[in-house]
Amino acid sequence: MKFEQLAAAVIHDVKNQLQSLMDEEQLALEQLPDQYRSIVEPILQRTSRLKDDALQLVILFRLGQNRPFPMDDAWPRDTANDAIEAAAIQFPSVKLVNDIDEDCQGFYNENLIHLALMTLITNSAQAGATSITLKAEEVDQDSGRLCIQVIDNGPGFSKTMLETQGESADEHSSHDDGTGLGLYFVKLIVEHHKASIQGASVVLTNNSKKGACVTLNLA
Amino acid sequence: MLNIESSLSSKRILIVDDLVQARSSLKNMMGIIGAQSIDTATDGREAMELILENDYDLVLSDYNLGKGKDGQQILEEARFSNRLKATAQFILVTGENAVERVMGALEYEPDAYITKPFTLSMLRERLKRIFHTKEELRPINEAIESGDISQAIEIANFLLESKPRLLLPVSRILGKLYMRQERYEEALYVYSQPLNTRMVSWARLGQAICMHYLGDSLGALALIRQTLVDYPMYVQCHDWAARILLALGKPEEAQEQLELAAAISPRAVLRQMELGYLASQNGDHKIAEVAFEQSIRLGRHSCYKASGNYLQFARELQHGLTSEKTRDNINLRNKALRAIDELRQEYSGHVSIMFDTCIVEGKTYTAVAESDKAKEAVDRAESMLARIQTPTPDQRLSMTEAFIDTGQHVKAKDLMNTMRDSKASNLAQNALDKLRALEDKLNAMTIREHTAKLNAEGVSLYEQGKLMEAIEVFDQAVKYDEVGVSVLLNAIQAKVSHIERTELDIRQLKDCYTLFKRIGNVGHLDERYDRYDRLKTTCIRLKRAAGL
Repeated sequence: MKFEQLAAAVIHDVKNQLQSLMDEEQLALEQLPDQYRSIVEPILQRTSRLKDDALQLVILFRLGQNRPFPMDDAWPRDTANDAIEAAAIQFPSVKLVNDIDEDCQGFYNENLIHLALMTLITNSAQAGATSITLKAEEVDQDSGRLCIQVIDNGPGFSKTMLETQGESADEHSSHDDGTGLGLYFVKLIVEHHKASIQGASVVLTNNSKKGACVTLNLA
Repeated sequence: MLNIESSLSSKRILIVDDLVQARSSLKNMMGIIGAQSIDTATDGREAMELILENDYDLVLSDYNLGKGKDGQQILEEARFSNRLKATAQFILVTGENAVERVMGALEYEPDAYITKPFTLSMLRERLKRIFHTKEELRPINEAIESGDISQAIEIANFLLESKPRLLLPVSRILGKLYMRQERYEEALYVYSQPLNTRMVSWARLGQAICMHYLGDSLGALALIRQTLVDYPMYVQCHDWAARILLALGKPEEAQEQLELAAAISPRAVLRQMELGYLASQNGDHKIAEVAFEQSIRLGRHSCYKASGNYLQFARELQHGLTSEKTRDNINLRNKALRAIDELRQEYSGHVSIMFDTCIVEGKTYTAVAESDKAKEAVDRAESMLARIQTPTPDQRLSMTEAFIDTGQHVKAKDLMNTMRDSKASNLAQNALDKLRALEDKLNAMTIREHTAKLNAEGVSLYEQGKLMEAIEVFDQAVKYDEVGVSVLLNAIQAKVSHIERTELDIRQLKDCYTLFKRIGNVGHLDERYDRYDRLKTTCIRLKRAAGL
């Protein structure tokens, strides 16, 4: 067996084990008396974060091998719901809103976009946002062109970030105190969709009053 | 959007997963969202038994089911055996790494797939979407179910116009329907529509298949190769590349493609069978042997179980068999006989299959020089053939060959005469060719036996000192082109001895030179060289003495 195959198998196993661990922890939470829940909840949050990291590794590994992720019909409301459900475990105090129409439809790899949304929600929450809203709009129904937005009420992007759109080598962070890896990962995902959807891009803006907005143009 | 709870409550559901935890978790989730009638299966075998017994509205199967069949194979068997209505749903549950394979299936594609891991709400949402789409496609599926393909095409075209959101699922069905009616131009157009704006792997494969049937096989092959660059695990692309290469008269390259496909997805019985027959045709008996062995193993508990796999497996093994008593040879022999035994047990009531079984058994014993057992098997084949009301030309030809192999030349000749006399005009060209080849084989064997007999007689007369009589017998033997060097040397020896003992018979001496010419050169290392050299020296001396 090749080293890459072995590494891929191990990463997959780690991801699956973490998912099982999460299931067990959730089961334990349901059965525990209320006073003990606060002890277990942080464990679940960390496990959830670890699982997302493992999932990122799986995706990065495959992207690194230039292996394509197949695209299919997908519904942003469902993808956003999945991301919100997962993020809610890690950030229970943040208000997460899915403001996407049920009929809104796109053409993308659901796993990748789910992970991109998770990453953007994590970025916003870590930057201090207390409310995050997900929106989506079909730009062209026939071609499945779509834009998805993650809008928060946090501190917003710095001037440099907005000018470079996160392209400067030392500053990939969507918010000033991050490592920048999250946004870089999101860009990789959107970049990957370019093979199927020409003109795919990530656009960073600040809201008129307060907060940041990241737009994924799958168009 | 429909109400998933009420929709699920009336459905008969089957859940297939080899992992107990995953199985019960999915069952619990389905129960929570409204399912009331749920069966579970732990593997492909159990799943197929349940599918054959019950009418399921929904099957939720994990893709990877451990050692046995995978979820895709359950789907193929269920649809192949018509145990799933077009309106029933088959959903594959898969890890992210197998999505590529699941999505690409063009012939037996699942209605949908759900990627793991998922939570209860994710499952609910996904099922809602799947059911909603299936509901929208219902009129097409009902027309298919009733066998009215033209009506299904009409509805599909209407849906494409009126509901552009259904472009992908409807194009997928419509492309297949057009292909069923051999309307490849229209199918090509249908597949090209989603490709205008999206990269959809199955639509590219669909295009390639249409191009092939429309005569542009090279273009089709190029498109498939391009798709494989993007999706190297897209196994159906390899399958179709093989079919197209075969049509282009490139069987070795076709075999390479099937080998690649089998390496990606080794558990598909039909693919292993296809590879086996192609490799056999290409003379690659080792690959064919492995492929048929796999076909037997995988087919044991499937609707694809076929007697042909056992027979071909034994035939492929015969190519490696010799009369030597080595461990490897004995293992091969036993492997072939085990397959034959299993075949006999599985198909005991089928006279034709039992006939083929006896023929293959006889050949196996012949290959390892166990002539008594070979003859017993051929005798059984003969009695089986007598029980077949109208034997096919192939069966008669097999019987003839078996008779020849076991030295029953009279029976072989009789059967060949019967074939020639009674149905000569009805025999297909390839059957006639086979018949001629068998006649040649029989003639060659008869001559070999006849000349061996004459040689033995000549040697006996020579040893008794009856030289002229020996010469006469050897002269009869050497009339046949097929006689070997030893017989020719014996004939020369008799003539030389006669000349030396009685008189310098010029005619006999000239005959010796003619026979030397037929022998040609005998190498120094040949065990017959000394004798050859001695006789040649004597002849030269006699020639000089005769003044020739």
